[in-house]
Amino acid sequence: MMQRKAASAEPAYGDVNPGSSDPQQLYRTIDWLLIPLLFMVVQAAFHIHAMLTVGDWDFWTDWKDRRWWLVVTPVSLITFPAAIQYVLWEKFRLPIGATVCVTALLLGQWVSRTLNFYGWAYFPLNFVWPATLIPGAILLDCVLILTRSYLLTGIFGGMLWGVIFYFANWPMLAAFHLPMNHNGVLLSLADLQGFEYIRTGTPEYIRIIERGTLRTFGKDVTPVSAFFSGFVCVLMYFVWHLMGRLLSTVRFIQKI
Amino acid sequence: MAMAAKVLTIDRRPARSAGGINYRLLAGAMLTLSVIFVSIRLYQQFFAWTVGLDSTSPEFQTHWMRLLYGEFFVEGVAAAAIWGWLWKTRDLNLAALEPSEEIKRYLRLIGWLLMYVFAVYWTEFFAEQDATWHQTVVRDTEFTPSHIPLFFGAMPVFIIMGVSSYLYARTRIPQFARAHSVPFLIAVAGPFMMLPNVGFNEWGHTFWIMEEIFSAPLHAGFVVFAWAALCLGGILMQAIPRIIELAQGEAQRAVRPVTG
Amino acid sequence: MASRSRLRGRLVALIVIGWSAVASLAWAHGERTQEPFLRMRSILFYDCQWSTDRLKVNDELVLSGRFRVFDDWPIEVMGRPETVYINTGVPGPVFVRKESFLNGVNMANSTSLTIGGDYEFRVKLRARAPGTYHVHPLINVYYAGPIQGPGKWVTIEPGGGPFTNPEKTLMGQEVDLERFGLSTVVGWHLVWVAVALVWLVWWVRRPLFIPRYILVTRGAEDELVSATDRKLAAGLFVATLAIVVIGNYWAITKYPITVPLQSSRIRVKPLPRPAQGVEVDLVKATYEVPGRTVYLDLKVTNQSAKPVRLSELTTANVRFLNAAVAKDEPGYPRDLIAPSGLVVEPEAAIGPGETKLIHVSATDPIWETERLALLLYDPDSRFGGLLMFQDSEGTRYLSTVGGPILPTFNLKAL
Repeated sequence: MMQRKAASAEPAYGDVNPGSSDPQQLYRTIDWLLIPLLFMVVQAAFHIHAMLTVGDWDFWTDWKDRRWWLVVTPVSLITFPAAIQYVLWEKFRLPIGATVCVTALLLGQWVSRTLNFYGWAYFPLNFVWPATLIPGAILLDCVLILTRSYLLTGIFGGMLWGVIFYFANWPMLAAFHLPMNHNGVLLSLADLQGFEYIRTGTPEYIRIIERGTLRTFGKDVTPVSAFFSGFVCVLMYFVWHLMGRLLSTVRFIQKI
Repeated sequence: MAMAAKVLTIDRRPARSAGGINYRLLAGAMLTLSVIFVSIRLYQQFFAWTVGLDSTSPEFQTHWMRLLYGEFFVEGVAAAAIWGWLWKTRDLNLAALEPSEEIKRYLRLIGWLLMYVFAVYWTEFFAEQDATWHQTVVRDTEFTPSHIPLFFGAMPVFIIMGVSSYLYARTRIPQFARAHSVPFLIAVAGPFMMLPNVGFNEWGHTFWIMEEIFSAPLHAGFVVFAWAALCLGGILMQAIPRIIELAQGEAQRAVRPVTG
Repeated sequence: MASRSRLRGRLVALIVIGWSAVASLAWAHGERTQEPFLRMRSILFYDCQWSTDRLKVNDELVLSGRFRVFDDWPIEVMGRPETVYINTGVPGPVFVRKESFLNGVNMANSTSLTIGGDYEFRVKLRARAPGTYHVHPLINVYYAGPIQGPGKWVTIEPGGGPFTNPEKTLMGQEVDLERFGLSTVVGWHLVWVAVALVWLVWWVRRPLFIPRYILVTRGAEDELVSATDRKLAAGLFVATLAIVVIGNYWAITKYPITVPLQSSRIRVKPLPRPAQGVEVDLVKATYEVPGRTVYLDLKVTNQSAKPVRLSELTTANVRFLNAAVAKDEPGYPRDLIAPSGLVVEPEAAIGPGETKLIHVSATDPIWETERLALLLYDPDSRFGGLLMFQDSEGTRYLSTVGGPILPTFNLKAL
């Protein structure tokens, strides 16, 4: 006889994973449970963070300017990618932290804009589309795997993350900056959208946008703002790298 | 004739996915939550723009305040029932816990955490929806068709799930029963604090800033408490080494050499 | 197959029912929860008109009127009206706003108001979504919030075709503002999502967490990142940069002329005031709670050339008319007007140059239904309003009135 049924008086691993004594099956099961768990928690937490720090710029085309939007968005949204990159790379050598974050965020944003902004309040989708952060995330993750260094990722990846944001979104945004003549006043198409699609609770003056170009640089505002954004992103990356270390603590305490 | 030791299944049944989690129960629970929240979303579609704009109207009282009171009631009952059941059926003899059962419990803990983050996902859905409402209409009172499902619906639900997952760990898993897990505490208490922060939010909107720009510093409390969810990574870093230890121990016990 | 199509049919029916439920009566906004002293002493709307209260999708509605910025604007609470936006109170973009003018000046951006000034507004709206809505003029004031004008129910009927919003760019390109640019946005998003999925799937398809964790803790982490992985990363890095460059080149070629967001402030002067009008000083003001009446003792000086009589008191969008002088306006929202709510004693006109003490009473349940009686519970119990005097030829003189007001709780106390 080639095989015989093993006799065992002990409760077997088979109770957990009937028919298998190979922990790989268990590990793969845990993978499939952890993937939706981590995707959802990153999506939920990152989306809440994003909507309450840069939400207004992301909600409306007439907030997507050349001074604030392209600075605050990358600076605020490099936070979770930096922290998650630490956890996934340090513990699992997975270079997908930034991409997971921004893909999860984007899914939440599109669901919200479609079902709520359009489906509920009836704003046209071409007024409320979200920006994309995927290019910066890919660059950040690729720099990490290629350099295997948090320092170099923070410096080069962080800088690229900040600089590339506006240019990655410009192909989508350009159409909304076509000039319009609105009863003798020059407006961009995005301004006209904001004027026409009435938002009682969002007056025009509340927009935190460029109100006068940078003095020294004439019309070349964008590259200046983009490089400033990149610089601050570098600093922010390291702050949130430390947050990632802090929040993945494994401490126990006896009393609370 | 001796054969090389070979890892075989104990009873020759084909391997299937771990039996630790009752997937039907988990799916059913997530489906139940989905049905509840989708129903609320549909309710908003029907009644928000029609009778939800003016809190002084009797129709608002009927359609929205009753929903609010209903939410309070259901959440109170659910919290008492779930937490009470978890406490009542706690394991009083964790020292005698079998390794295979302990692994199952870690899987079930992941199931509880899945319910927790699923509820947080719905909170995020209603949270951005809040911008849709408040950036579009004139601010009325605290109880609006967007606040009622968000602050008094989805948030209490995720609090119930978060506390449940912590209670499950504390009452059934030795590692978490021996001492309080700091990341677990933060991951539950942090998002919980969003609810008291609502008080500050409304106070601020009444006295400081009338417009509903989401990026106002007034909302910073919600942002900070959302960061606490990152501590889920810490919980996993605590659990994973123990899972590995258990699994490898079980694998060694379960392996039987095959001889011809 | 049959059951699937039945399901589909039910889903469509559900959506149609849902949408038609949306396209129905929409109640008033939250204006009544604003404090009475703010509503009475900030922006006083008058002469408001709605060109129609029933129209089809794509039809136009003109909302016009005037407002006075109250002389005793509560600066300590609301700051000065130095940044304001002429807005419209509707429940979302059920109308689109095609024009907005203030004293003939285009109000595409924000402006500032002069305390005590009069302004004439004209807003043209185009119907977008069927339903019945409360439509108000509205002014957002920075730091103070929205100040709503009177609201009237307007019904948008289905029909009139699908809503379109044609506009023309400065270069002559015709666009539909409802949908222009959306396909480009979605297309680029899909491109980037595809790139992201390539990267994610590349890693997720392998054993992910615990097996990798074990190797990392054993110090064998270098086994987890292969040369192929690094080549893919390098390729994606270059591809990402290339796509961004190509995308920008494409955008610049397709849209060579673009302008930044326009954020200037527009200056507008108030309307000129007649050189000689009617001056009013408040002597005493009381609010009789049971009788829902405001009593005003006013010292009125007529500086015009003709005898005048008090025709109307308007405050917080409610109007009290002196039936002896002013005719009712059937087109005005009925819940905001008391056609014979104003009684003046003595009734006789005030002659040119004359100063007279008049006793005015404004009586109507409106004080309670509009929650203005809650003035008693405000931390600032001062009221405000606009008085209109009229001469025999119909020329009108406006004066603001305001000051402390005391409640009385029984008739005998007066």
